[in-house]
Amino acid sequence: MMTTIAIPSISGDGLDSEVDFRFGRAIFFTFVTVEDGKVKEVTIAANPAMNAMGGAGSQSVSFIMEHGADTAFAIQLGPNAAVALKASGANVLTRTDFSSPPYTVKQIIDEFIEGKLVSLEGANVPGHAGGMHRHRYGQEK
Amino acid sequence: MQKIIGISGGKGGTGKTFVATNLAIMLSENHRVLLADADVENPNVSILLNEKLDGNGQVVSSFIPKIIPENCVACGSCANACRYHALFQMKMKAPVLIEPLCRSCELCMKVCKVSAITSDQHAIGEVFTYEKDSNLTVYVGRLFPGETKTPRLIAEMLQKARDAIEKSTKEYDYMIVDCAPGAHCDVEKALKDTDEIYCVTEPTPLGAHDLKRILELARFLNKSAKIIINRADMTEYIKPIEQLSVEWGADIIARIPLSREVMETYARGESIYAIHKAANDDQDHPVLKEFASIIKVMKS
Repeated sequence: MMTTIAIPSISGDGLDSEVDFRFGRAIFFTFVTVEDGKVKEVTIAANPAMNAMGGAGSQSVSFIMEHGADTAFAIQLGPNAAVALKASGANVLTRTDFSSPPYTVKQIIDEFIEGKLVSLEGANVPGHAGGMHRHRYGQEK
Repeated sequence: MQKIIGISGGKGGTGKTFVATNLAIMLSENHRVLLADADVENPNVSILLNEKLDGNGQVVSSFIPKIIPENCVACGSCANACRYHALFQMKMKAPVLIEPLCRSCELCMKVCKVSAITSDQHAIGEVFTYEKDSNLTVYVGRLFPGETKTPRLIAEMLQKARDAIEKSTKEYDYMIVDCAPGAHCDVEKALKDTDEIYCVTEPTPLGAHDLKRILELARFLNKSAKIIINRADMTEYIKPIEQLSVEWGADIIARIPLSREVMETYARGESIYAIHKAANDDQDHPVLKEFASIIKVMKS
């Protein structure tokens, strides 16, 4: 069974990159293809919607779908991205707790392979939460 | 119609609605007046006029696309055309509307060649109207809480008011538009078709700061502006307002003194003018004298 998971990332360092807590306004997406519990391929792409005037959520979902992702990982997911992800039919995953940031892409992939990630139904933050680098893991920085 | 006056000022709580309602009541003694409450997020004119806005408001709606998947050929032209990315489309599938992003431009419907998008309506607010007395007609816009299309509701309310003026058999003399605080697009919309803007401010740093923004907006709209200082003797901070008046060529046409009576009548929802008119001592009242000079300017 093969899955391509899109993970919002702060840098273009592949598996070593730190996960971006924002989704629509993530700086990069790291696409990791996993087959039979093993990482097959890692690709990196800058998120074209990062500085969008509006609708970053839906644009970034279009982008990861065009890149062939069938699964998305999110820490904070806004309402527009949530609607788009639902329409896309993608599987949306998250962690159960965020008490020990930061997280690396590798860590998330390991947890995915171990089946530790949980599915995320709908948005978990209001719109524009990721716009101004204000919130980090749901807390004022 | 002789004049359309916009009552603005920038800062909240300076007395815009107080000035607008009392001016309308005073003018309506000898003239036909239409008072429009364009502060659609918090329309308070009717509280001061002691009128309830229950019952039959006319609902105002704005366009949102209705997608008919049976007709859709998934060509993607609507999703590509939408500048606000309000239509999300997967390959080979009909688009999905992300409603908060839609700005009602109707472009998606116009570019669709297979009639897969029709017009749907999303209610944004209501317009109320009533005759306060035989010479004073009131129009009020009230936005539904949480809606964002404030300028659209204001434009619709003002259009309905203008239509009523046009259809009326009796000539209207003045229209007074009471604006919301701030200098945002909703205020711009409310002031767009006025002849003159009266900026109600107060002698405080906040009043001066926000007044400047309204004067800038008035210049942007190419309108002449005048200043009304409310609670003018409340502080010593009158110089900065006078300076702004000179810098921006906006005459100070009234200095309404601080008055406990104004606040008490305001709190009771009564018109200070109506009370003194009934007692026949309105001529010498320090507050009403200032109103009389505003009316003089208005008629000039």
